[in-house]
Amino acid sequence: MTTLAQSIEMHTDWPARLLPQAPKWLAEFRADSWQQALNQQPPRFPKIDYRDWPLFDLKAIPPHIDVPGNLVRKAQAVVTLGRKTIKIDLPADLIAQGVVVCDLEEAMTTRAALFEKYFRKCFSNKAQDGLALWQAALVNSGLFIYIPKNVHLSSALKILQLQDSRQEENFINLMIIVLETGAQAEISQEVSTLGDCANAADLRTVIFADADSTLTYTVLDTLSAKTSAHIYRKSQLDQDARVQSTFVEMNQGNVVSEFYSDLLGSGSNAETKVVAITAGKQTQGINTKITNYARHSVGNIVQHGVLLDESKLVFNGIGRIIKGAHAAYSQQENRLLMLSEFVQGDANPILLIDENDVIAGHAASIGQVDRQQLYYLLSRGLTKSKAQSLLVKGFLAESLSEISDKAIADYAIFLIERSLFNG
Amino acid sequence: MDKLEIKNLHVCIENEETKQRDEILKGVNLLLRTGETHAIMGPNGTGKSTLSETIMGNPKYQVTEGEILLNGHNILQDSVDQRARLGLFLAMQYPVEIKGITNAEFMRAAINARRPEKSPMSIREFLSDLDQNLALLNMPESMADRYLNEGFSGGEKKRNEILQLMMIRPKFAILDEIDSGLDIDALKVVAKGVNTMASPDFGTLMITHYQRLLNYIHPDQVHVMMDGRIVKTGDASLAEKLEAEGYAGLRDELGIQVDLVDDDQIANQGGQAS
Ligand SMILES: Nc1ncnc2c1ncn2[C@@H]1O[C@H](COP(=O)(O)OP(=O)(O)OP(=O)(O)O)[C@@H](O)[C@H]1O
Ligand SMILES: [Mg+2]
Repeated sequence: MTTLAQSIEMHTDWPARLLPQAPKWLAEFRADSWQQALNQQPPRFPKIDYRDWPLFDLKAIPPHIDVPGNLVRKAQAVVTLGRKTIKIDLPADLIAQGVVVCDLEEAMTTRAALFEKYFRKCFSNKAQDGLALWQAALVNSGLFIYIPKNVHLSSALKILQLQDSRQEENFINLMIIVLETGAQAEISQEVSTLGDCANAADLRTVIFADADSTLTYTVLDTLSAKTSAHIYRKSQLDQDARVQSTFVEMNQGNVVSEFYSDLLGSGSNAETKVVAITAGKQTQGINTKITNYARHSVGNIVQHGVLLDESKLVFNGIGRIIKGAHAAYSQQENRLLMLSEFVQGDANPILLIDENDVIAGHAASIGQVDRQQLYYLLSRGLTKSKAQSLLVKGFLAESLSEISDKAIADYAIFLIERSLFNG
Repeated sequence: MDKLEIKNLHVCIENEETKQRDEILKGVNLLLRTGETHAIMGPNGTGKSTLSETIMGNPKYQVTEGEILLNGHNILQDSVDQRARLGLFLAMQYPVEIKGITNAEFMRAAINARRPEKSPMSIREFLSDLDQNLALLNMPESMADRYLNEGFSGGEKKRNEILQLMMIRPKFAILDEIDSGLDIDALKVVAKGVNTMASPDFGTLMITHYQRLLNYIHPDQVHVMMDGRIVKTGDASLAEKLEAEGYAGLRDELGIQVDLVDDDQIANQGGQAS
């Protein structure tokens, strides 16, 4: 296990080594970030201690190895494996309308100005924490998605990203999603691991939702038991923009997540739903925050988690209303269902409110399976594990049933059942 | 022919506040065979639901003495789901609501729990069965897609219990006040549902307060339960007698020492009858 500072000292030239093809501005940006990171700590989160996780171990850069042939045939339009782009199938009409979906390398060269603008914005925060600087310095793969003004994607854009753990390799991935004014899109993303080496993963998505744009963003994360990960997903919403995010966290290893929305424009509306399952001895710590900067902005957080075995799951739900955000709305719900007596669950609603004429509230619950419900199911002959899996599905139904990408919803349910039957 | 036999059953329940254990069933004996229909009647609070829940294996109830034999096999050590798969079914007095699980997926799971894992019932077969039974019970098809009992009216919940019974086809069904909360037409429909189950391979134990149900589902035997025991057994005419005379008369005739909740009321009725 290496700390951030140790890692920087041991690998001074790694920003350049991890992305040798970076243009000059980017190479400098990365080197600067790496320098700054030396004086920054990774952020602290309530109840989540990830200091002992090997998030900052850098591995020698391996050569690309073969790509399994079946990846090209996956249903998703976009498939990536580690640092490699397997395919990007974008319908011709979207290309004609100016939609861009490409990997970072291509964005750097063919969309240089656009990419630079948004990349810098991704890391423009003055006081970057250690994790953000790590990302800025080392990102080695990713996607750039750009939907021009008033363009509506007629069908969902589906993306599959695989961490390549067939060998030791860092997976530091950035996805930039830009929706210009009035654009509309549905994007669903599945992130998983191929192979069983122990690796760290660092995933970042930054969404720029310009005025009047609408995005439905669904992610299913299924990183492997041997992956320790940091996941950061943030959206910035301008006036009357709407972003509905659903994050289904079915990773098997230790994961610390930050899911943030900044309601910058008046009337903007963000909803973040999180569904998480923890099993074995893993920990997932999830920080979900919506900040209302603007008047009449609306933020909703709904988090449902299920804990099995000896696992730990923490939901920190943060609703923050900045002074001046009159008539803002901030609501959150955090619920945990514990299926074993050895689990550790925490649901912490945190409301930070600096304005008076606002509506804010929260609901939280931590509990076990309802005995009467379980008895009813058993009395019809269902085995205990089947009955429990139905009750878990029931508990998560509200969140899962609203996932528009049915393939993701069904796969999530399949994974829930599998984790319950293994237990 | 299958046999469900209850021998000298004593059951306690622990009062959650006082932690005191109260004996509710005080030696129940009963023999039910497939092909037969039995009814149990008795005043409120005498232990009828306790008996049915204990047969099903509800962990709230502790058996302190006696046995429950299914074809000679003592099922007291079997879990609730095992008992169900052995062929027992309890239509509950108060079915629970479960959000997020649809009625249809629940019933499919219940049916498939009784089949080998490798050969679940085909969806087509399931749906045709389901449609047929829904129609027989005058239930709209949409009921199958609603969450289990969630927001169902009292009568709809009862119908739904019978729907499950018809889909699952157990050997023995215990129907705990399946008639309560049903309007007159619904009562007929539910009875029709139960009657379609009639076969030499199916036995019913009905718990009811009203003789009316027995007009529609004809019992071979009627048992009267008081103070945790079956105190009298007879044919359908026993129910008619009870309906006319109330429980106090029978209690006094048998010399049982027990307070009935509504003694004043019963005394009045008795006065009028004599
Ligand atoms: N969970 C419980 N906790 C405490 N007492 C209970 C519990 N369940 C049953 N009892 C008591 O046991 C006794 C028998 O109850 P039971 O429900 O078996 O009666 P019943 O004959 O079904 O009555 P009814 O006709 O009203 O349905 C009652 O005095 C009741 O209060
Ligand atoms: Mg009762």
